[in-house]
Amino acid sequence: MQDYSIITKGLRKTYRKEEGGFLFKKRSRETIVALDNVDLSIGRGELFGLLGPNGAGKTTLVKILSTLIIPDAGTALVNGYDVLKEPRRVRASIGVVSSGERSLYWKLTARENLEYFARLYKVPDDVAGRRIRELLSLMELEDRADELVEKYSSGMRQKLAIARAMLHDPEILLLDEPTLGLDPGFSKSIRSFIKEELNRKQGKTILLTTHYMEEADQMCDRVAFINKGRIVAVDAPDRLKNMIGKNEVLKIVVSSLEDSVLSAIGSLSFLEDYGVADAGEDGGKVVRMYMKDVDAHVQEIVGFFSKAGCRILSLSVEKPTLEDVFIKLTGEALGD
Amino acid sequence: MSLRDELRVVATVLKKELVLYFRYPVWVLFDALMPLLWVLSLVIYGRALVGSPYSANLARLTNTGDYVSFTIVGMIVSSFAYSTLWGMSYALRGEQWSGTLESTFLAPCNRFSILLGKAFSSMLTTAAWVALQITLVSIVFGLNINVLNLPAALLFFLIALPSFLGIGFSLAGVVLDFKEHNAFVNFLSSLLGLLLPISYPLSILPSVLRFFSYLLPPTYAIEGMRSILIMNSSLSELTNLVIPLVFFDCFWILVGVTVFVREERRVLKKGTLGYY
Amino acid sequence: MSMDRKSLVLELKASLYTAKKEILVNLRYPLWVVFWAIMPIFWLAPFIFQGHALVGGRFSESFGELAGSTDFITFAIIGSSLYAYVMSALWGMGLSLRREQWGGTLEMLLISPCNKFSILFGKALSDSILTSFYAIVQFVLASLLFGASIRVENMFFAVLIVVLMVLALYGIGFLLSGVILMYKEPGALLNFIDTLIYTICPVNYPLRTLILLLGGVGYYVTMVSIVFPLTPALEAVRTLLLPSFNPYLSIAVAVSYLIAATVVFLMVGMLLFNLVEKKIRRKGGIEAY
Repeated sequence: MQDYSIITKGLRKTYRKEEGGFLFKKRSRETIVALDNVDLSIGRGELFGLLGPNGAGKTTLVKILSTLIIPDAGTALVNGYDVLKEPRRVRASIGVVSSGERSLYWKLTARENLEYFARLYKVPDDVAGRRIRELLSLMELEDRADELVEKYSSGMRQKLAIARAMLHDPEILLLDEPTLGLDPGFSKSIRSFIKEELNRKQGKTILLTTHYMEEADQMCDRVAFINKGRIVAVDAPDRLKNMIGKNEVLKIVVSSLEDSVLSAIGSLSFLEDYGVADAGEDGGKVVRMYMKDVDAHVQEIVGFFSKAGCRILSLSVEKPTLEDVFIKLTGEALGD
Repeated sequence: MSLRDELRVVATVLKKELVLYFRYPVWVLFDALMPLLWVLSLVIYGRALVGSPYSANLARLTNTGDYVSFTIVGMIVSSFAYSTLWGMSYALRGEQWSGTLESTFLAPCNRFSILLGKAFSSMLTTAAWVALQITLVSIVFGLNINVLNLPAALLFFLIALPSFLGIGFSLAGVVLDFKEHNAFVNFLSSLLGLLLPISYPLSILPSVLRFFSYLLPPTYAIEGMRSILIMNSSLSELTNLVIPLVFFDCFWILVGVTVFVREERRVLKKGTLGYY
Repeated sequence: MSMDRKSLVLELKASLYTAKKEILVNLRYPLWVVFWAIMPIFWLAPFIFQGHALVGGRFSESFGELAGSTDFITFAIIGSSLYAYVMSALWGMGLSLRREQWGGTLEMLLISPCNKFSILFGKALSDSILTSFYAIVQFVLASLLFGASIRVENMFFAVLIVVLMVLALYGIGFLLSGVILMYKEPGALLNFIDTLIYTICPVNYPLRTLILLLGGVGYYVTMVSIVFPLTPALEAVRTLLLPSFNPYLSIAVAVSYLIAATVVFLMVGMLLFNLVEKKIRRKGGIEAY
C-alpha cells in the first residue's frame, strides 16, 4: 500500500460575505464556495503541483492543511495526523512558504528571524545554530544575514522564507505560489532549488500551488487542476497533455474578436477543439486551435480571419501545454 | 511539548518583542516620556486645587493627605494592569498588521506561551518606564512610600497578576476576530480610568460606579498596594482584598482561556486569522 | 476673469463635496459617532472626581487664587469641550491622508485635477461640523452630570473665538498630515503630541499653576503653551463664559494672537505640506506602507 504524506477526503469550505443591513437597509449575503469536495492523495517524496487561476481555492487548501483554516466538511491527514484533531503534530511536520514577503519580521535581521523561529519550532540550540548557518549558506544569504529584512529585495525575502520553513527539517513542505511577484532570474533559481535540492536530494514531499503553467509542467511529478474550488483532473503533466490527443496547436493572436466570428470558428470542420483567452489589456485575443495537421489548414485559417476583418498580430505552432488542457477542461484560462 | 520547551517559547517571544520594541527608538522615547507627562498633569492639577502637596480632605477620606504618593501608586499599578490587559492584544494586532501572525501560529507550540511572552515583554518595558517615573517624581516632588515594603507589594501584585492575564487572554481572543481593536481599547481604558481608584478613593464615586469598580481586579490591586506602600499594612491585614483577588484569578484564567480558544477556533473557521 | 471665477467655483464645489463624502462615511459608522460624543466624559470625570477628593466640594479657594473663579468643574467642562477640536485636528485631519493611503485612494486624490487644498479644506470642514456636534453633546452632557455655571449671554462671541481657533488648528492639522504621510507611523507621535498639549495647556487647570509649581521653567512652558491656539482660545472663552474668571491673557491679546495665528498656521501648514508632498513624490512613497 502506497505511503501518503497528505490525504484529503471531501474537503469543503465556504465563506459568507455580508453587506449592508443598517436600520432599514436590507442585509445582503453572498456565499462563496472556496473548496468543493476536494479529494487528494500526495505520496511521500512526491513533488505535487496544484494548478489553477487566482481565486480557485489553492491558498484555502494550503491553509487548511497547515491548520490555519478549519474546513466546513471533510477530512485532511498530514503525515498521518488529522488537521483538526492533532493540529500541533501537523504543524511540527510541515514547513510552509506563502507568497508575499510579509510573513517575516522586517525589523529583525535574517539571522534573528531564523533564531526566533527555530526556538518556536523546538529546534535544540546546538542543532539550530548549525542549521541556520547551513541554510543561510544554501540560500546565499550569509553575507547579509545580519542586515534588517526591510533592506532585502523580494527575492531575498522569499529565500529567507524558504529557509525559515526548513529550520526544523520537516518532511513536508507546503509552498503557496512561492515565485509570485519575483523576477524571472530569481524565480528560476528558486524553482531549481525546490526541485533539485529539496525534492530530489532531500526527498521532501512538496505541495506546490501555482498559476504558472510552466512551473507546474517543469517541476511536478503530478499536477492537479483546480478551478472554482473543484479538482478537475489529476495526473502526470505528460499524461494530462495527452488529453489533447496527437493534436498540434495553432496559436493566433488577433487584435479583436467579435462574437459572431467566435461562433463561426466552431464551424471549421478540421478543428478538434479551440479556446479563446484575453491577450492583454489592449483588447486582443489569443485563439488556440487544436487540429491534426496545422500545415494543411493554415492558409484557410488566415483567410478566415482576414475575411472576418480580424487583424492577425502573430501566428505560431505549438505543442499542447497544460494551459491548453486546463482551457479544454474548464473553458477558462489560468491568468497572467 | 514539554513544560521546559514551552517556557523556552515564552522566553523567546519575550526576547523578540523587546528586540523589535527597541528597533523603533522614537516610539521608545515617547513611551518613556508619556508617563512623566501624565504624572505631571495630575500633580499640577492637584496643586491648583489645594495649593500645597497636602490635601486635608484626602487625609480625612484615606489616612493620607499626600496626593502625589497616593496618585503615583495608583498610576503604577494601573500601568502594569494595562500593559497586561492589552499588551497581548496589541501585540497580536501588530502581528496581523505586519503579516507575521500566521507564521507565528504555524509553530507547534502552545498559543498561550506566545501570549505570555508578549504580556511579559509589555510588563518589562512598563517596569522600566515606571522606575524612571518614580525616580523623577521622588526627586522633583518627593514621594512618601515605604521602600522596605516593596517585596510585600510585589508579592501582592503577583497575587493579582493571574486575573490580569486572564482578562488579557479574553481581549486577545476577541481582537483576533473583532478587528476594531483601537476603538475597543480606547473605550475600555477610558472606562477603567473612571472606575479605578487611581487618583481618588473609591468612596468618591457614586454607588453605581463603585459597584462596578469592585468587579475589577485592578481595583483590589491598587487598594492593596497603597495599603502596603503608604499605610504600611501587612499582607495578613489585607485578607479582605486577597480573597476576592484569588477568586478573580481562578475566574478570569478560566474565562480567558475559554474565550481565547473559542475565538481562535471561530477565526480559523472564518479563515481570517491573518487579516488586518 | 470669468475663467478664474469658474475654476474657483469648481474648487469650492470639490471642497464641499469632499466634506459631504466625509460626513456620509462617518455617519455609516453610527457607533463611532456615539462613541466620540460620549467618550470624552470618561476622560473629564476622573478630574472632577479627583477634585472632589482633594477639595471636598465643587469650589476651591486655592483654584480661585490662580484663576479668579473657584468653580473648577465648569472650568474643566469648558476645557474638555474645546479640547475636542484638538483631538479632531490630530486624529481627524492628521490621520485623514494616512487613512486614504492605507485604503489605496490617496494617489487617486492627488492626481485629480483639483487643488489638493480644496480636498484638505473639505476634510477640515467635515471635521469641524462633526466635532462641533461632539463638543455640544459633551458640553450639555457634562453640564447635566456635573453641573456648570456659565454666562450664556456671551455664547455667540465665544463661538466666534472657537471658529478662529479651529481655523488655526487646521493649519497645524495640514502640517501634521504631511509629516505623517512621510513618516508613516503616526500612532506614537500623535499620542505624544496629544498628551503634551493636554499637560501644558490650561484644559483642566489655570495657566498660572505651571509657574507656581515649576517656577522659572514653568514660565517658559507657559510661553510654549500660549503659542498653541487652544490656550489663547481657552483664556478668551473662559473670560466670556466663566463668572469671575481672571485670565492670564487678556481677551484682546488672546483674540489678536488667534487672528495672527490663524493666518500664520494656515500659511505655514500649507507651505510645509507642499514641501513634504514634493519630497514624498521624489522618494516615491505615496503608496501604502
